[in-house]
Amino acid sequence: MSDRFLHDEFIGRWLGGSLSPAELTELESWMAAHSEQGVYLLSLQRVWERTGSLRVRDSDVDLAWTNLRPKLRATARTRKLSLPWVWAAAALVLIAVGVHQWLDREIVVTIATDRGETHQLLLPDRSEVTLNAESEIEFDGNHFRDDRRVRLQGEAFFNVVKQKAPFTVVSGDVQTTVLGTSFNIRSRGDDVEVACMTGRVQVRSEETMVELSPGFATRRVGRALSEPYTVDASRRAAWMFDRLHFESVPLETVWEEIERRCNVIVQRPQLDLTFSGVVHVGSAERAIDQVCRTAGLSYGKKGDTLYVVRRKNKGE
Amino acid sequence: MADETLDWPKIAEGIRNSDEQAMERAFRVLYPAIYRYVSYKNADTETAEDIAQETFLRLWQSRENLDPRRFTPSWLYSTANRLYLNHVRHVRVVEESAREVALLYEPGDVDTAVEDRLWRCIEKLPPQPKSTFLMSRVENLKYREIADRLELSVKTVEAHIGRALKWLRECLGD
Repeated sequence: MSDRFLHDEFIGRWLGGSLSPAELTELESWMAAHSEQGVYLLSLQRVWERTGSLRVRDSDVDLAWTNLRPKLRATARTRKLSLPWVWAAAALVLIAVGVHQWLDREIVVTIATDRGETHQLLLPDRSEVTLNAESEIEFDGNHFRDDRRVRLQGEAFFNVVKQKAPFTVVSGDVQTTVLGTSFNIRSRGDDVEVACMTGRVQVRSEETMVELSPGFATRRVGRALSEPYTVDASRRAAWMFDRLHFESVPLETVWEEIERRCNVIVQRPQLDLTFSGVVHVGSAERAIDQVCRTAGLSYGKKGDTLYVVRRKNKGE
Repeated sequence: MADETLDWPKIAEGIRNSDEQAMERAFRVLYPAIYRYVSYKNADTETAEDIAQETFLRLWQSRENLDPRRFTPSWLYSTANRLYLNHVRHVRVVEESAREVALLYEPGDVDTAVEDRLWRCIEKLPPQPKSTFLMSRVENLKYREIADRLELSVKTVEAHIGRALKWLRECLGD
């Protein structure tokens, strides 16, 4: 007797609807001829049909994702902790906050710092970026691996991981391209300066292209770039350690930078002075005190505002 | 299931590049399926949720070794299975009677007493035929789809289904 019709596999195939019409006819005539087995198969079919409406309770996907999400971040952060710096956790939060655009699988990630804060962050390729106060960096989180390109407003120090694909920073109409190196870009208003610390950096503007070696910088002059000039690149990046180096810059720039870094308002007279020196911006008052001493000014405080005044002749 | 519509190589590429959005899309489509799969294996709801989430965490942690061209959801099923087996090894499985069947299963349109009896019989099935059978009956997956996810041959799936039906019939006694 042919009991292949009673094999598990055949029964599975039959009820799953995978039998050919010929096989089905064959089965039916077999069932008719073997009523006992036929009845048995029909009872299996009933069980199959009965189980067709089974439902299970689902787990809440939203809740599960909410639980899982911080764990993903945590694993990412563990890697970061192995680096010399302890990355500001807030920067990670900012990544989430800054994702303000989702267009056709293009994800623009924006990380911005406010006045008075700096942030260190890792890009998807593990390049390190330190953002100075009131600065903003933006990149396409989805395609970054293929096209390492970021847009920068403000000032940032980059330590770029070496890869075949170039790494480009767009700041206004100045493009800085590297393979793997560290450099500082300052782009405030129309003023853009790129200083190379290690490796080689290629800077382009609308009209010029300049190659920088370590210890050299270039700045925007109209639509062109200046000839490279030597800088102490470590000084250019010293803002990361709360020190601002100034070399013959307008005093106004110094105030602006202090306001930015310390998140204070400095009320000051317009003075046609230049300033050179190192300012510690760990504390606003200390920074202002330092500049005032050098420039022969004095200051007072009212709430969050600091008033800088020209020192009158002895006394008041 | 909706996961047929996802472009897995692309999703896997995204995950490999630490793209959280890609991860979220994979999660939203596959978490319910993985959760169910684990719950079919005699895990209580909480354990099933933990294991399903842990499965995705493992995916994220090993993202750098993903080969996007080869990645399929079966990776998640086999990882979930491994985690479940680990769990069973460490924690003595909850006695069958202690497992709160009612917590796991949604009552259907049928008479609850009958439904309840049916589930109690399903509970007694051996793990492999059980999860295969439930993937077919609850989630309406085709044998081919089940085979792909569990990395079995279609023949094996068919045999599990047939076997499960025979056992169920015996248990139900009709």
